[in-house]
Amino acid sequence: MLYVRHTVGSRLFCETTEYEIKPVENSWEISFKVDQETANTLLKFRDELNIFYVEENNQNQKTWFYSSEGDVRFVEDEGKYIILADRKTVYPV
Amino acid sequence: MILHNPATNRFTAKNEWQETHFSFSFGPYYDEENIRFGPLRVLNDDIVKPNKGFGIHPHRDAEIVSIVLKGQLKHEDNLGNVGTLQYGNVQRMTAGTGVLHSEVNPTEDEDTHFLQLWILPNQKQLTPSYEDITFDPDKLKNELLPVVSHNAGENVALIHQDVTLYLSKIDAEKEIRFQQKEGRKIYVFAIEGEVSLNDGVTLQRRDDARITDIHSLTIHAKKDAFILLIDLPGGEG
Repeated sequence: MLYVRHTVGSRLFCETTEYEIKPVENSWEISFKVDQETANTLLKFRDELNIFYVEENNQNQKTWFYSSEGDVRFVEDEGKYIILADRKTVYPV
Repeated sequence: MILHNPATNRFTAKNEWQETHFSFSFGPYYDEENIRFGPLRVLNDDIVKPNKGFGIHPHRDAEIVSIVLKGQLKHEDNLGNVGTLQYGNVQRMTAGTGVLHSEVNPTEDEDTHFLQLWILPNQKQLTPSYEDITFDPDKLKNELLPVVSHNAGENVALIHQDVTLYLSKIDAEKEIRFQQKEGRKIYVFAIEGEVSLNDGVTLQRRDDARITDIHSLTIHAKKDAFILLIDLPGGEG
């Protein structure tokens, strides 16, 4: 499951099981489908997004990603939101 | 101008082990008109039940200050810091590029009451760091005692923003004065008691005042009072 939350107080913007995370040089490209309204919210808070990834078969750890430069975009015709995260931390919960 | 926010206007979130009153937008509370006051982004007034608390969670790009009013608060982080705070301690954590920490009430039988403030740093992606200081409660008496500042000193924690946090306990019918430089802001939070500001606005327990364009502030205690005053830079927000 992928969760996108606000950095201040962890307000949940969206959660999805349909996403892709792929390494790109020293970063990770995280993409998932969202509706236009959610995309607008995510674009508004582009500098304040924390992305959490929890594996279904390993609920005892979380992976935290973020983009320090707010490097995000919305591909409107595909309804796909893409975050280029340059920070990744894995931690136990 | 003095903008008075009564405590009753605060958003409250409550569950079986925690009660929090939010002075600014945070978590489940979001109000476009109440995001921040200058770089002051969060002031949460928390009560945590014994043996409960916030498990490991991350933060970034925030200067986080915790002031324990009653009980104990145990902090542990991935930088290797461990500390148990109580009244007389103030903690400052620079989240910067990212820090993982937990905060729990380690006691068996006493609620923890604490204030947590988040200040936006003057620079993003700072190196994470942690500090806790001890102040002498006797020095709060009818004086503004700095406890966190960009000009750190003995018993004053360093913060990466042009702000200074003061605490003061003012006896009933006494008053203190604060002189502010032009173009800056002042935030006053009445932790306990009742104070009037410049013989106008009266703050009851847990009310706040957001003050702009006033350079001389007289704080008169109508009852014994405990206050937090923050000297903030001007500008938008």
